[in-house]
Amino acid sequence: MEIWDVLGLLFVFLIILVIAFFVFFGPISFLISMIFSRRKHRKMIDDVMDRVSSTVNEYGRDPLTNKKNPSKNEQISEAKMIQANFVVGPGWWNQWIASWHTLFGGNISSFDDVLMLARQDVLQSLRDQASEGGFDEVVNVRLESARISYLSAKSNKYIDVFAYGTAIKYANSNLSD
Amino acid sequence: MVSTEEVPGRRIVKTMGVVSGSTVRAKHVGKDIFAGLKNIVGGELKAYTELLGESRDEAIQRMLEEAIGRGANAVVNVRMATSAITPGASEILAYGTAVVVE
Repeated sequence: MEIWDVLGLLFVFLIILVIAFFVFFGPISFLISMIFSRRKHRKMIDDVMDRVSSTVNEYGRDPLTNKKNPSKNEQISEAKMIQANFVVGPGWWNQWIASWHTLFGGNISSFDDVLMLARQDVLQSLRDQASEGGFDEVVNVRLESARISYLSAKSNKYIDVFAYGTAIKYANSNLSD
Repeated sequence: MVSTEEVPGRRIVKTMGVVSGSTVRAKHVGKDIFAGLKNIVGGELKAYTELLGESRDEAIQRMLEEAIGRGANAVVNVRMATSAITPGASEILAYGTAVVVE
């Protein structure tokens, strides 16, 4: 056999591999997404909720409020703006389901999970920052979400959730740390 | 810098007007592809979280520079806005009122 025959065979084999990759990549990824997506999001939500309850226990209450003014009318020693963000990808399965729901309408429960995960996570980041900095309370908390798109508006629907607020420390703080 | 209408515990002496800062950023294509792969199952896309976090810091920094340029020592009522101006890049805008507190 000539060297060129071997090279030709190799080339054909490579082309078949590349075609197979492009043909099967979509369906296999979709299957993976279908099986693992919801489980992964649920697990992440459970993790966040655990962290939320531990911080709330530490404070004895939720330190975040969206009221404009501090809850106690005491002297304040420090005020600082804190912020957190979280970009979440809903996964192919959720995007596919959502696209079907636009035909029939109705509540897209799997998408609720994704957004809830992102919101709870940013709020928990604010709580973490407040607790690390020794702040007593975070007032005027605002949540915002935006869709950030990549290359084409059709393909991926990444969602950015952003939260910010003003962390305050009272002059006679009752926190131990 | 605070997001409330006043600086808690301080008195505003003078208002110096609205200051703002913005930034437009995009990630390089390698990270885009990696994030695309991660989005098959979903979950947090850390590359984008970092990107937007950095952009917000930069927008805030620009806003603060403008405030300092006007002779203010605090910025109150800070608000943030995000918009996807072109596919692949997003604009972050931060604005607030520059004030002098005692």
